[in-house]
Amino acid sequence: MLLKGSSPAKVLVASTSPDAVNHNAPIRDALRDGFAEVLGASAVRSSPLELAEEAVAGFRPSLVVALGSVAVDAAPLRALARSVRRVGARLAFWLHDDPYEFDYGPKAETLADHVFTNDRWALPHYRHPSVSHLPLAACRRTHDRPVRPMAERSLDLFFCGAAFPNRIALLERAQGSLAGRRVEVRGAGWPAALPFAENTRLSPAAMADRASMARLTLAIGRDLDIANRRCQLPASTPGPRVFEAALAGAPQLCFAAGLEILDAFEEGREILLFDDVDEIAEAIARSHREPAAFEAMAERARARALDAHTYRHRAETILAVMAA
Amino acid sequence: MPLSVLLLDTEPRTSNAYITLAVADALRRHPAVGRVVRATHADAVALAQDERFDLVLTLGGASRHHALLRRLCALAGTSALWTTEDPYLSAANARLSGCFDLVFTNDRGSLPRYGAGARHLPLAATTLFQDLPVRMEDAAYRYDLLFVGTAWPNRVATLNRILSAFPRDLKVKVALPANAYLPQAVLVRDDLITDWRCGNEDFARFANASRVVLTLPRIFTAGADETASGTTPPPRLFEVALAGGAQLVVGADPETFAYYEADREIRACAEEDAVRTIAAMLADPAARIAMAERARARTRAEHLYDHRVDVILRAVMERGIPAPGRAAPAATRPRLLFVAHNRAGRRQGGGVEFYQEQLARALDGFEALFLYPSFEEDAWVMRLDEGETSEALPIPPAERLLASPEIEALFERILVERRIDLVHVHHLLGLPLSLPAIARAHGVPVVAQLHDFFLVCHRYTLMNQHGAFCDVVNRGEGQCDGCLATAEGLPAGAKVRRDGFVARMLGSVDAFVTSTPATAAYVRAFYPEAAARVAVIEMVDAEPARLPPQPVPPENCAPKSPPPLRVAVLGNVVDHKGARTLLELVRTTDGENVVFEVFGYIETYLVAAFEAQAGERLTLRGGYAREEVPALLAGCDVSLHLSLWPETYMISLTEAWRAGLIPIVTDLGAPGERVTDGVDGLKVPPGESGAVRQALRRLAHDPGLVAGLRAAIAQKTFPTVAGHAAQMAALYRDLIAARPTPHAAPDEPSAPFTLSALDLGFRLNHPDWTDPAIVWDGAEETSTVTDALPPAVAGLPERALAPNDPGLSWEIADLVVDGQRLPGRIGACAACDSLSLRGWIWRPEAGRPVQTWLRLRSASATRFVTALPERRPELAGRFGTGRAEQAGFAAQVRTADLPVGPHAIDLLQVFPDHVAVAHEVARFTAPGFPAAGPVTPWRTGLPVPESALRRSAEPARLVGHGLQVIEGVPVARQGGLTRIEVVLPAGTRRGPSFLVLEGDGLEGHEGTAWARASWQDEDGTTRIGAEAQAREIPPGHYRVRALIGDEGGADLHETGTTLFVAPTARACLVTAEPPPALRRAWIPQVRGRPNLDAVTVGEASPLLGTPVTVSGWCFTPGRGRPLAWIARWGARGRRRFMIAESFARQDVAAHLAEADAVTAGFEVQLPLAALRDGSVRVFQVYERGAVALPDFPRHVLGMIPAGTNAG
Repeated sequence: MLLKGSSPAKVLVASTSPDAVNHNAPIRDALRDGFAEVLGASAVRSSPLELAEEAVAGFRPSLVVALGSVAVDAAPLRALARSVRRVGARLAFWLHDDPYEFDYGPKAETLADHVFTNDRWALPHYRHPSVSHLPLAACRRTHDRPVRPMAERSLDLFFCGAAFPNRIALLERAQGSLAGRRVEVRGAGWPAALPFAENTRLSPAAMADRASMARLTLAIGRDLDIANRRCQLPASTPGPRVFEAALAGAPQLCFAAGLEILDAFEEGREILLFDDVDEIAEAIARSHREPAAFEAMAERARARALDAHTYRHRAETILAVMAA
Repeated sequence: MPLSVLLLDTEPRTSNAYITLAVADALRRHPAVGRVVRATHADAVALAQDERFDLVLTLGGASRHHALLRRLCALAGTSALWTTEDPYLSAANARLSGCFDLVFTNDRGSLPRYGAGARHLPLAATTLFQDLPVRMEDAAYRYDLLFVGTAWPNRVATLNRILSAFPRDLKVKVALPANAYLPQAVLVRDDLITDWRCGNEDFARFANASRVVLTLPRIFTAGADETASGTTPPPRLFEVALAGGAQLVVGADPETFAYYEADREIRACAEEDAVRTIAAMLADPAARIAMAERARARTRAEHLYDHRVDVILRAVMERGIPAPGRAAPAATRPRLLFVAHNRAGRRQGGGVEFYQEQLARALDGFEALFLYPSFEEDAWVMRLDEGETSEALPIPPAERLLASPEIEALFERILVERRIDLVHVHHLLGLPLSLPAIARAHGVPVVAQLHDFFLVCHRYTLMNQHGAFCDVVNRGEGQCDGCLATAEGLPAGAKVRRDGFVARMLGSVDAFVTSTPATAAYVRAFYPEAAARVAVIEMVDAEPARLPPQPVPPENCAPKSPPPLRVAVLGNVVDHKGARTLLELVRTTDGENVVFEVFGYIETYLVAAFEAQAGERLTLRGGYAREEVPALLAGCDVSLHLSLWPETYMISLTEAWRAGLIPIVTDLGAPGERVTDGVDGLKVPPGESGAVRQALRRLAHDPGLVAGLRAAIAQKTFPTVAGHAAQMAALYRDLIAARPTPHAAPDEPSAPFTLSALDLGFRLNHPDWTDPAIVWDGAEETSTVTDALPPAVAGLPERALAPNDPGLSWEIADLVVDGQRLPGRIGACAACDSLSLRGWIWRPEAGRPVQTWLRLRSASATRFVTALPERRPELAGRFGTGRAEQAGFAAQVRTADLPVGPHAIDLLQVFPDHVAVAHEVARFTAPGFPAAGPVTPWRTGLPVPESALRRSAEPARLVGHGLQVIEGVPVARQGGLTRIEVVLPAGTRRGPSFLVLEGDGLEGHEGTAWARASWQDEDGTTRIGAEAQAREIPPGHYRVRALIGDEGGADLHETGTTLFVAPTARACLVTAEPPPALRRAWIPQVRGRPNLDAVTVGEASPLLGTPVTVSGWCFTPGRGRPLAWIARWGARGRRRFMIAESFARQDVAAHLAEADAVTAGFEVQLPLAALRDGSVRVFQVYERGAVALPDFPRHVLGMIPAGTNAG
């Protein structure tokens, strides 16, 4: 694999914020593994931001992929960019918190050769001449689980994620229709009024385990902005959890705040969508009535994820874009 | 020749940025266009200065950042405005659009507001996001009905009528984005998830997947000068059509049919026909799909942005491309703004202050204005000096600010109103670092002179925590956190925050001025991003009036006792100037034939050490004036310049050379560059007194060396002030020629100045680079509730602001409770969740308050909430000074954590020496417990059939409600939230739970209402609770009950509590029980005319018949504050009493000069029939008892048209 300028591809994956404030450090290693599947392990390294300058100087990559959020003004991104320039490498930012942190995008735009954004609707709003859309993905090493028979699943409904106000409101409304169901909600910031919610952060692997134990895994997008005043962009691309849960063999019920998700998964065959809270209870009831159909749906979604939505696929896209 | 187009969205913060993307896309496709540049407010003017665009197309409106738009127009071949927000902003757009060559309004109805040349151009659809084929199979649609739109109350009402009419299996997709100024949308289908939003591309996909896409009108109350509704439909009409959606437009303006044929391409109907029309559309898929196809075809043929852009470009070409040179000619006497941290004559200053005066005097053909921060009378101001006048503009402390919207707006105004042609930044200490970016946005060239390394570090001498030069460029930034932590106590990351901002800000600097190349090279090595040109213009000294003394050849000196080597130390003695090296030198040369003379102040902490050495060998001569230097140096041989930091010039070196002295300099920075070792001076390593001693010994013992040095020094030439000024003037003229800034004519209309760094794309974690907080969107909108004021504030004495204080003007007039705006005056209310207040206080003699707080007082606790400053541009005109703009404040209070019960709000303004307090500006009631579940509506009727009801003998108990209490009765107001919690009898089985309101049966009031409840477990009791919105519930008294369902029916538990639902959005109680205030033998009468602001007749209800709402004020002195109003009507035995609390009227108190009159306001409801039959009596209750107002009903009646039906 060659990159533009025909240097053999050596890729360093670095984070964009210090690990002390970076909840998404595991994605860095997942992407490193994705690149390793394409280029071989010796051509790939990963580094936290705070050690990235040394890593660039020592490893002398041809491409540095800076992955994450650029919201933290104290993150030494300029120093990273300088070190990349010193070794003659190219610098791509893969921003994974669009559109919620879109206002901070210009910090990356001033430093990047190329910007990848996780959100398709944010994409045209960038001014950088070289930008593309790249959703997050699932990690085979972390999330892959065989599809478990429905009869073995101890939960009716599972959701894992931070308690953003829109998620709380939705589950509060759904609560009445979920009486008697085995529901598990995990994450941070859930109010005590939701008895099935527990404020526990699950590791990525534990999340996959729990999703594979549930008849239905809920996907509810986020509607909470950190820095999105300029264009007030709503999100359009599904978050990584949808790909992760698919790889974990979970039948998924996704709230339709947009239909871009149907570009990744087929409704009815691979995932289910919902628009009102009564549909959650109905889908649970259906999973009891038609377990085979739900298993088949989970199998198809997992196959689709393995086929198109792992970090290996994202690494291939990055290399293709940067070589173009 | 293809046209070049610069496109700007005039609104830097907009949720409709996609329209600009769509227009840019269409422009790029147009055959007449060669190049399209999508600009931002940060670079639009600069781009137009760099290249003359054939067309500058601004999309949005003319008022936001108008001054910037006006400049852009002046630089364009042709300038065009295409509005997107008419009619809502048409008045402002029309007033300010005169600077554009072409004006297109999106709304045909707004066209008459504009001049003759304006044209109508509707918005359109774009193939970029919305081009989707119609789904040909009815089964291929996901949704029956789609509505996406802001939750205006009229829309919510229509949706509810539609949803009620269809069965629940109607597949509906609704998004109702709300904002803080709208009541919470509550739909009858509370299973629907409506609090989501999507981008335009997703909206198109939803429209494509929906059988019926609904458009509902927006009934909107705007400012007095604005038109309420437009005639041209919004772009959504075209977007849905292109996306293949079948549309139903409710309440369409006739103009809609100019774009699509009714029934053939779209359906339209009146609000009352919506249900029938939707049903018809769903029933006939073939016709509906064919209609959508026709609409899509029409859109592709006529209503794309390509078609609209073609109209604009034709207009541009019809006009012809004007020849270049239309921009205003360069000013004959350009005006410079010198920005610095100080000005000579204000605070004690140094070289920069001296220099900028010297430069201003020497510049020929320029006018210089001075801008600098100044601390005066315990507060910061920004001073603007022009000629003999000086204006002081209050500012917040800005020493560590990267950005400040307030200061940026002032700076923008100065640039525009003072017609500044160039900004010369000498220093930004004490001002936000963002100011150059504001200048660049206005196209004003910026010169940054590198007097020190302030751009690289706040510690501008680059001395580290150990007192040594940090050499950050070569040693890396890894040491910075440690240095700033030790030396300044700053948190880690502070320097990175500052550097990251400065690196981007430097893109706004056109030229660095430096005395020597090395200084600029060092700054640019630290900021490789900086592209500014570097002008090396050597600094000047004071230019002595007389020639320097001629050096005396050493061989002429008397040989027997050679005189000592006289060593001069010029300049203030401080560590970074090498004070400790000097002290060591004095000590270690004891016994050698050297004497030292120090000219300059010694820093306090060094005085003792130097005085201990003072004597024959060390003379401390103290401070001096620049012009004294030649005389002082006469007789000296050598000068020492031992700075430990890389000085950027060192004027004292020039002075020493002029005096014929041999300088010994540290080999660092500009002195190291300027001195050639052994030729015109000697160089030593920094901080090494031994090396200096050796240099002195060589001079003392090597006459040849001395002679050679003196000869070379005698040949040196130095820059003159005139030469320096000429070089600077040439640079100025160059930059001004490259960036000519067209100024407005004096009579051109203007708009408020509000440009901020945020508008220019500088989003920051925190405006203060030393603050590690990351401020999120929305985080600053809700103020934090704290238990106490900061100690520094709590210790200050309080001074009560009486409403009748002369000079005091204030208004607190914008109250939003739980998302419901309560228009008009501020009265007491219940706030379940949040309460926001906006207002202003203006006291011309007071400075700007350091902070504004709200004090929330309840019976059990006092809490404090910070209020945020809010710019109120309209006050500047009202009070005739720009300072008044800063009198506004806003606070949003979350009431969740407040104790239960009524609260009074005091407003506290903190000044350096006191806290000014306005007492009881508002009152509210907090619930004191959290909501049990999501907000649901109170619905009329019962949730289960009457036959399934079982009246339980076991009572439930109401344990909490968030309602205002009047005469012991909880009162709910229309549109307000009722938060109710009920404890159920022990052992109640869980099942579907509801709260039920049952009419008290009096006067036929037998209706019921119900709301879904949630289960709660607390303190071992079983509870249910609901957060329900009262809307369109008939007013009256209701018994509160709990209803628990099971398989066989539902148990109804009595709580024994009655609540009253008020007839309007204001709380009041109507009761048969005489209030205590009237239970007295004699109530004095006060005759006179009440001051009535409004009398309106409302819709009839069983409670009051036809009600009359009366608002105004009334005040009788000597009875304390007014507390409440009571109206009584009906015959004896059937008497009714209406009781309402008083409203705040600061204006009345000021008008009457009577502090007690602050609660003189009222808003009451009276039955029209009783007014007419003469049975109404009105009483105003004061602190010292009630008074009767016998004339009140007559005056009210006099304002009601005679024919009004009493219902």
